Amino acid sequence: MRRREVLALLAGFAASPQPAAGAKRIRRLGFLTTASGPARRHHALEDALADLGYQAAGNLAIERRYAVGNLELLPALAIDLVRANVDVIVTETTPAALAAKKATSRIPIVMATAGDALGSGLADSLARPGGNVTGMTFRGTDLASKRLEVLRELKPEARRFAFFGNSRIIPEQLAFAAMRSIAESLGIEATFIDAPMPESFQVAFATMAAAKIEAVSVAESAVNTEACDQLVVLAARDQLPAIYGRREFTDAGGLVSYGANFEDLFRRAAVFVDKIFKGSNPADIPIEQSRKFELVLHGRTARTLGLTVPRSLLARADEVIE
Amino acid sequence: MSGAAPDTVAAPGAMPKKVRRRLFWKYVIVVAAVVGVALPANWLFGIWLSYRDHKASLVRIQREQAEAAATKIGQFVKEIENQLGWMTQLPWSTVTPEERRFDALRLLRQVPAITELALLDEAGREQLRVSRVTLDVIGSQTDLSQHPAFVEAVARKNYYGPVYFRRGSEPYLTLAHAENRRDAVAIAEVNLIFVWDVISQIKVGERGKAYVVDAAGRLIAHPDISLVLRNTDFSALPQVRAARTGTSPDEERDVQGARVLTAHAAIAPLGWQVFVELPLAEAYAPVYASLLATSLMLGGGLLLAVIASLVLAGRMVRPIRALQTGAARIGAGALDHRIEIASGDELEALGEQFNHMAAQLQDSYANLERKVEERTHELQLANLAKSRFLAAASHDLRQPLHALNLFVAQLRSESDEAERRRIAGRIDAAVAAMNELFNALLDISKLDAGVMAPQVTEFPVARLLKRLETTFLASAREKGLDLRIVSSRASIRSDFILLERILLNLVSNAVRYTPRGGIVVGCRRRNGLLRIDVCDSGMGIPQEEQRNIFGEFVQLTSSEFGGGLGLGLAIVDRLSRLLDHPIEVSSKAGSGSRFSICVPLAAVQEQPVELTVPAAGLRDPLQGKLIVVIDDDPLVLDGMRGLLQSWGCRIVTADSDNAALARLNDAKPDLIISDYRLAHGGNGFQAIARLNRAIAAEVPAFLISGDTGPEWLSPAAQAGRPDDAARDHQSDAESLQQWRRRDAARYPAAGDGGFNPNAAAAMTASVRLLAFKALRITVT
Repeated sequence: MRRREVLALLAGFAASPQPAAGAKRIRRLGFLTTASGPARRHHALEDALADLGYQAAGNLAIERRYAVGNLELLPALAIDLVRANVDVIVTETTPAALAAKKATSRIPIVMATAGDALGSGLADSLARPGGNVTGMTFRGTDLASKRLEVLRELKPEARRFAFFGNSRIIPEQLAFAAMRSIAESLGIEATFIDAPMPESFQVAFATMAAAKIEAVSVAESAVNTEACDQLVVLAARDQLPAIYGRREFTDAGGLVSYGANFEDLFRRAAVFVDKIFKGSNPADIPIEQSRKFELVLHGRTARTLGLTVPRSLLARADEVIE
Repeated sequence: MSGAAPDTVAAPGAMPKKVRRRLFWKYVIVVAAVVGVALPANWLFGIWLSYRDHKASLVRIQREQAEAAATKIGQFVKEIENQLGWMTQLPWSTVTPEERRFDALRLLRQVPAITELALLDEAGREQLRVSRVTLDVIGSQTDLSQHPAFVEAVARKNYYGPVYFRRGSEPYLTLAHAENRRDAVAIAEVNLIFVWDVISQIKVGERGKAYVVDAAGRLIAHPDISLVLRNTDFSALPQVRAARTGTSPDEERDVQGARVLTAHAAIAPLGWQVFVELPLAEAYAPVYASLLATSLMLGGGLLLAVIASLVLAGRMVRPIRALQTGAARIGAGALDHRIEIASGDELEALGEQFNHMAAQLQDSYANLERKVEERTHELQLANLAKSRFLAAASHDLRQPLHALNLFVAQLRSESDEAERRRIAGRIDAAVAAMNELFNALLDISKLDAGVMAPQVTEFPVARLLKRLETTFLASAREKGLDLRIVSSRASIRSDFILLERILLNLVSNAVRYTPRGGIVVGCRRRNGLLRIDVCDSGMGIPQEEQRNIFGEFVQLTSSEFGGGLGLGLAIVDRLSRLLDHPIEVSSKAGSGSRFSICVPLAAVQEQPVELTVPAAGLRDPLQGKLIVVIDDDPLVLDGMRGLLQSWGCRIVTADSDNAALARLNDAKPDLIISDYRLAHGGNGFQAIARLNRAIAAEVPAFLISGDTGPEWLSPAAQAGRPDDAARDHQSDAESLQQWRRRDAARYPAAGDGGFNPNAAAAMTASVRLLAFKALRITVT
């Protein structure tokens, strides 16, 4: 009798999950995004995590929540993740980060992409975020002026510019504000065209055509990125020179893009996740800014639009797609 | 033999302590201690050396890595400078603004690290600014001629500004370059985050890293970029401080507090330092590994040492213990125990010695016991012999005593005078027989007790033979035997009296036991000895009895030959032993016997002293008297001889009574003159007494001496005084003494030593007077 009890005890002991030193503990990661579903840039995060030793099949469990472009869904999704008791929440886009931050001040949040961390109120300072939010920022606000400059180089005579985005997204507001102040100093016009969802794109472009907009800067939001093909087609139909924030657009045929490499951002985010898994306090992890900005030109689109690309722009371009 | 010894050392009287095993443990401890000290010492030393060497090589490698890193970062900056050099090569006026802008934009594309680039003309006015994040500005004409970047670049071609942090996050460096030191100056804002790329590529072991700090100690580049973005101040680290002062520490703590091995190199001309750090655990991992391995080996070695020491000690101690127990057993009495050691060394030899000793002891014991047995046996036999001797003596004594009883009884009852006289004669005979027996017994006792000391002198054997002849001639003729004594001119060395006794006994036996025929006594020289033979034609002695006849009371025949006690040959045997003259017997039953005695020859074969014949002349009253002079001084003897011969005396000189007796040759002296002090402690009184006894006479004598003291009286007591002769001599001596004293007083030192003519004359007169007095010669 006694021997059997001992054996049972040993068996039970062996079967129960052992909190072994770091090796077999399963980390839970929550992923919140306004996108509709997994994208290639998302995989970059998982690949980078795998390089750091977090296998999706082994010691890493990922909970994905997609807002599918609907910003209203974000809070509920965030709370859902919190309730799922994840160890860290990785967010894509500023609204998701804001929603996550609202949902929890305990669970660390890593912003994979954020336009303007300080401007959005996600952190107190870049060096020491404070709070539970840290991650990557792609300086969308800073880039707004450069994008305008590029547009002006391509179409020097243009006077009426538009900013195509979602007025509910704070970094886009900030970007537009920067754009407008420069436009004012240059004596040109800048208008905000609000198009939160793909369904509203048609109407937005009609509005732009009606306002006789000569060039547009398209926000690099996740929604826009998912609908990049649609946007590119619309811009081509309307013969509207557009500058985008991500090279996905120029890959799809857009005229020009100037912005950070978002895959790199997701890759760097994995480092933040790793630090947090290892016990670092997100308040002490500084926010990183992207330092490489690619200027991608689409030559054929330019020719189609009848635009001449100046030498200086060519000199600046990191890539020219034909 | 001793009883069986017990196995432990517990024999009675042995040490009560139990057997100690200290030697074994001593050896174990010594060997183990030696090895136990040597091995760890060796290990420690090896470890220390290995640690030192390893650390030295590590530090060297790290320094090289730091140098390499410094070079790489220097290259990074140099590259930027080169690019700026292209920009500023040509004079401002020779290049159009568009071209300049084009070049600047191209540069931005070439050098991702430059975030902003400004170009100043030779006057220090900004003519162009291009940026990645802000609008380009063309021809602002901002006067920056006082800006240190411009000033420095114009002066020294390059300007390196202090590191500053944009938005408190990213480190930037303002770099200015003027290729020709005029014409144009390019000022670039370099995002130092790009140094991070360079640093990240530097591999330092597994978990080591390289990082860069600026001149103030602030972190510029680090594999963990968040440290840089946090604007971490590394200036507090000791290695950073040391680098700024120029020293080179080795082991310090990094910013997280972990212990690291650190090396640094300077990046001139920026004034930055690059540090290469390796965690100590990883750095010394090989050392720790070898430490573990060698300590395991050490443990194994120590264990082996202990085992080996136990074994060794056991082997060393075993033979010693065998020795110990073996010796203890032998000492306890087991003499037949043998120690067995087969170690093939000195201990084995020692064991052999022990065994040899034990064997010797065994033999001695056996010998001793055997000897004790023999002695006891001999003593028993001797005791038995003594008892038998006593019994035989008593038996032989009883006979004459018995006869005496009868005769006395007869005498009492006898009235006839003639018969009484006859009985008295028989009584005399019986008493004589008893006397003879007692004398013989006494002789034997004296010989046995060893109180007889032979006085060896040299004398002609003829004297001895002559006496034999005189003694036995008559009795031999009576029995009808032919006695012939063949003389010899040899001189022998022996005791005259004792030898005479031997020969007397032998001849007496020969006479008694020879019924018919003759007896011959002769001498033969044999092997440097003189063999005196006594041959008879008697019945002979059978072979088997030839030893027994020398025993006490042994008589081969019955009393038909009359007389004899059987002690004669016993006395001869003892005397011969005493004088060390071997006796031989040669005889065959029925055909006579020969008894021989071998005596040594004298060293000097001298002629017998002739008795001098005095010269004819006036008849001296002393003429013809035979005077014996005894003195141990030859000079005195010569003097006396001369003197007395002048008086017409015949003299015999000798140094002792024995010699005198020998030389007298049976002549009876008329006077004896003896020195008081004689050789060998003898004195004149004794000599005179003995001589008189030997010749059975009372010869007048006087002493001469140089002594004048009162001891003259004591010698009389010393002489023993057995007979009246000595007493007479004493009275003579007393009167002589008075004469001597008177003479001596007048002539001191007379008689001994030096020749004083007056003293000699006085002495001569005295001697003559004394001679007259002694011989009772009155001179008219």
